[in-house]
Amino acid sequence: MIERHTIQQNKTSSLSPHPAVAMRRPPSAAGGRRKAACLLSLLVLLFATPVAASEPPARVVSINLCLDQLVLALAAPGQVVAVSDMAHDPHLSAQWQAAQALPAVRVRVEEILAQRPDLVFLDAFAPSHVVGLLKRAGVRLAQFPEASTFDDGVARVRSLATALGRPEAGATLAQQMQERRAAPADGEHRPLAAVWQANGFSVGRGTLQDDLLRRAGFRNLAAERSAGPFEPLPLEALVRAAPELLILESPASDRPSLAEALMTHRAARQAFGTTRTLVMPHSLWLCAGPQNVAALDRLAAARRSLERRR
Amino acid sequence: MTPSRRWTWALVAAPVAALAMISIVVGPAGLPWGTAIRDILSGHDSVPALILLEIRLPRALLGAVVGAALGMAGAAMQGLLRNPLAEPGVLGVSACAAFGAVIAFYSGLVRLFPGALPIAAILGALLGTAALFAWAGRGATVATLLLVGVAINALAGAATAFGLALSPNPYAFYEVMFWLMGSLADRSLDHVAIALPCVALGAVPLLLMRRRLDGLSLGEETALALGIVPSAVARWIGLGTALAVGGAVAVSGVIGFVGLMAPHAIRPFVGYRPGATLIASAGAGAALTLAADIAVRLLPTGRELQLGVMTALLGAPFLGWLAVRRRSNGAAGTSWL
Repeated sequence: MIERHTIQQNKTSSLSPHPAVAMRRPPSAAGGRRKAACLLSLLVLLFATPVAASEPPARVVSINLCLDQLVLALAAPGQVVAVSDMAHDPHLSAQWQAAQALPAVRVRVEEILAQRPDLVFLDAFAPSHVVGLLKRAGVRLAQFPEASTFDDGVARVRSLATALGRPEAGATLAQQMQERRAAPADGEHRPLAAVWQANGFSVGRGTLQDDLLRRAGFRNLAAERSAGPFEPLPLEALVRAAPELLILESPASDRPSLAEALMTHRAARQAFGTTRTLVMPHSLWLCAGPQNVAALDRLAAARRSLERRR
Repeated sequence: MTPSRRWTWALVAAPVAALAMISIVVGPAGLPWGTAIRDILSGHDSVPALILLEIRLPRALLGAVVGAALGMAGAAMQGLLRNPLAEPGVLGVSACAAFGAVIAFYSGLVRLFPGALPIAAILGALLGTAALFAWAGRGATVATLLLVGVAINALAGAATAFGLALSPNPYAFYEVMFWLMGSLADRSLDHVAIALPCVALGAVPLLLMRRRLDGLSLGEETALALGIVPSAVARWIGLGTALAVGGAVAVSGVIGFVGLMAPHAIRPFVGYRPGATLIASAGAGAALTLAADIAVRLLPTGRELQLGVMTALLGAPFLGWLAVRRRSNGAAGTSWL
């Protein structure tokens, strides 16, 4: 089938939430740990500079799908001037409608600089040459560490709002998220669920999807099978394990691919049928943020309907 | 003649049946065989029955069907072109079929009309065979034919990659591996239903042309004297090849070298008349593809090796060996080396 390995590697090395994100990036070079250390020191440097104390940024550019959505939700009108091209994609972005009014930039220094930004939002896995060139161009950067749990998302909302100079907007949104977060069910029956993604991959420990599944009261098949975050789950193994709920992801594009056509394999259709299958839109759980609340709602509804049928 | 023919049949059928059984047994999870077979026979929908019927069986069936199509097409092309190196994969016919399939699949046409996938693959293969016959011709030297084939192959492969790059789907481009290096992983009975009718339909003109291929092997003038019109034979062989190869490639991608190796493998047993090689070569192709598909599942590679990689690992050295042997025999030697 397709480049499972590349996707997986990119997913783990760059921790991009989605293959679509990972694929458009150069694979990270060797010595990732050293790079991570560099980035960490960079982060410290960035946040050590009094971002919040200075003037709020007037021309913000975000070049990461996950940060785009938070920026679009939190920024003051006119404060953000461009977001990444993926933020415009309704398959991937929960804020695609808000993004339509803004130009799209790709992770290319020239395109970013053309927007004359005074603050650029990047994630911790942004290509180091882009980070270096932007710094040399004198642009202020705000890099955010990975967010792979619901709580990371809440924390990100707060810190991103602070960087925008709108801490009160961040506090409000974070409060709303925390009010609606599901409480982990104790002692109740926790049905087994399996996430089956394009190319037959599943998500295990250390992923946002795993965290949301646990919060919604499910056990995650891939997390129980192995320790890796993104592991292939052969169709035969999936059918054999017979989880109570099969969670597929909505298509990543209007056009078909073999990777996603696998989701409609007759064996999976017959084993789970429509009653034991949940289709989760990518946009709801690809990135940590307020859209996760809707993902939790869907998971909770699926769990209730499973319980009714037991 | 009858006993020896019966022997030939056994020689063809036994390895295919044995390898198909092994193919069904090989899989990532152990299978409670008794339960699986009992549930299938009683029509009970259980997990073991589902795995056996919907996952293991289609893969074995496709290995046999796709391999048979490639083996028979290879034998027909070698007979028609009187060229021992002719083969749908090497000469770009399969790659043209893959290009057709890619256009139909990634444009979304298959969603409107599922039959578009094999039809487009067959049209692609037809275009490939037509270009090959037109540019190289039946009387072409081995070198000319191979050069034209290499050009068609490269062009169709590049067009396939280009077509995939045009798709807005983020996964599409990475699927170039499947289309150009073939695989039978995770195929279903739906794919058997696509490939089998096309391959069966393609086998009809190929088998009907059996005697005429024998006549052609005596030389065009002798053939004409026997009442055989070479251009008509070429058209029917081209059509049959396109149907069989198109149907196979639509569900498996390009699996090269099977059509090259299969006819050579059986010639020592069935003789050197092209017409006689067709059915035996189909069997050899099926056995070869099944064996290669079993090997990719058993090899300790991190991820499953593409089937086309495996057949190329076997077939490319074989092609080289054929070429070297041909040279040492002198190019003026027999047309079959």
